[in-house]
Amino acid sequence: MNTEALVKKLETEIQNFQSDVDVTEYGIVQSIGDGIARVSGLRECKASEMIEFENGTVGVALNLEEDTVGIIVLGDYLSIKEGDKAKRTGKILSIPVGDAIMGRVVNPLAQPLDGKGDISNTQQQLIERVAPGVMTREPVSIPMQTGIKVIDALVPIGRGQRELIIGDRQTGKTALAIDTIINQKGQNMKCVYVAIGQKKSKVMRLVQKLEEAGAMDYTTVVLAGASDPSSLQYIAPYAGVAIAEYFLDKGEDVLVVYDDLTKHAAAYREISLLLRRPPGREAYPGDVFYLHSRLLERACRLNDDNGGGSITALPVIETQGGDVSAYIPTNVISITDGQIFLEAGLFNKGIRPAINVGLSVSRVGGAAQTKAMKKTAGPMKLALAQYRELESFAQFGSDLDPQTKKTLDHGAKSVELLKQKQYSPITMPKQVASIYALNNGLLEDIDMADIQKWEEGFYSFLEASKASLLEGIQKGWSDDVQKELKEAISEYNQLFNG
Amino acid sequence: MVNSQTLARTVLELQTKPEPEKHIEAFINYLKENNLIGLLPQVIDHIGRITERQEETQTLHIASKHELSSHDIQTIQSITGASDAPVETHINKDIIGGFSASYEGYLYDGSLEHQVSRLKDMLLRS
Repeated sequence: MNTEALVKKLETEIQNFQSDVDVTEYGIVQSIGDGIARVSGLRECKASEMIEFENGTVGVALNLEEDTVGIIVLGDYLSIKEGDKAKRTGKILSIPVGDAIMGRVVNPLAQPLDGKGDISNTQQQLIERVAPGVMTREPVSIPMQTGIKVIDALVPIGRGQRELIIGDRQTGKTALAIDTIINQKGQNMKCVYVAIGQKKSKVMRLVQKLEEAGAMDYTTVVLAGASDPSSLQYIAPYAGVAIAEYFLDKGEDVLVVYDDLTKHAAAYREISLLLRRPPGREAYPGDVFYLHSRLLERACRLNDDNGGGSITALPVIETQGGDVSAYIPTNVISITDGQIFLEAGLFNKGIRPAINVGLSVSRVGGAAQTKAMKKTAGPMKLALAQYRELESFAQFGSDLDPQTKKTLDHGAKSVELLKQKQYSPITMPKQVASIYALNNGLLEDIDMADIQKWEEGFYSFLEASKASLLEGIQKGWSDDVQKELKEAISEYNQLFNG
Repeated sequence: MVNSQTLARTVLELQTKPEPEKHIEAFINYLKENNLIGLLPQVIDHIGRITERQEETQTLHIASKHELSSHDIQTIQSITGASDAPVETHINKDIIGGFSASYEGYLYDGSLEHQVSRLKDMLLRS
């Protein structure tokens, strides 16, 4: 369109413009405290509607009562006072999202926290959205490689799955999640890390690690820190999944980590008690199950007719003294498609990641495992189960029969091989190669103390001289590939022992 | 637990019933019987505040940059449906042009800023 035509069009539009008076309903703040405002009036107010206070702060209507509306204030509530006006916006709580949000650290209202300037987001995404229905979904069948041997082999996760990471404090829950994000580089996956009630310094260290690993290019961090109001902590995971849904709608695969939902439940309990909702078990409100089920149900894999994207959810739960039967842990265990249980005892023994393989399970991930991994991981599961059963006999030492000794030795080597350093994800073909060597007795001549050294060298050897073999494992699991792999392991063993 | 605010609302509700004196007397007796008579000063305070707020919302408040003519006020009264309501006008230098008004829990924004923002939205849409 040329300038003249553009000016003409603008003139016509302006001529047709009719001035109008905007009518908005408002209420009066009756009481304010602890981030909760009670506002009278607002007769037409809707649930979850955004309410704007005189100081520009926004709140969300949570309790619609006979005379008043209970509002959680999302921001500075100290400058709101009794008698202030609070007006309806007519909008249900939503955040601005767009492609520009990738690589940024934002608060749950999608406002930048990283000092990198404004985010030019393109559309409003509802924070609360009904999860996709049955007919739009597809079963989980594509693997989501975490790069962590023990997970990819024994507790596999598929795209669209909800896998809980559960364990005591300081057992490596966040480390697992961060390693998984780092491993998504080049895997066509967007990541959203939601930090709830965590120290901001800790989160900034994680962001730094992600930046160093080049993972921030495809990651958004949603931060509601420990010093933020509980209202922001409450909406943080919903904001995270709203960002994920923006990419899902574009047919992309997204990984969302909720770190952690224990603090989220505590924030919701605080809000509920301040809103004078009746307390239930452990003072949590009656709808604390729905709080998490409606969030995690939004994880899905859509069929091709609906874009074919997926949202994989990794919620984190912190237990007290390893008690997985507490209220919130059991709720989230029952909602998710499996759990990765981290044990303080294993962590202290130096087994890291400290995953208790016996208590960890993936209910749907098996269908998403590659053929190569499925074939190699099967015998390992059995070996570990036998090892766990016989472990208590290990203390008898020389009194054991040779077969039992062999099983114990094999199990101990399996445990040793599954150890992995932080921030060092391993690709699937390399994982398969090392597990194959163990399963086929090719590590029998290697001392237990040398297993990790052997492993590191083996990966370098494969990368340097067997790149085509790694490609072959990635593509399939034929007899030829197995033969070639066996030969490669023998070749490397000779080098290692020689 | 009954608080002074609830009691104040109750009094105002009772006042609208037929034969209000009888009801108020019964209300005072209720306070005496339940040892709540000590709350009466706070109840009266609340009644004062609630009434004040009700009067406030039932008054048409108009804010504009300049003094408005009686014709302008009548037009705004007809827009807001506050033909019989008492009117209070305020001067607000932040309003560039037009007016903003509040009446019975609704804000009426007829300011120039609002019109320009609507025009901007309309032009961006087209």
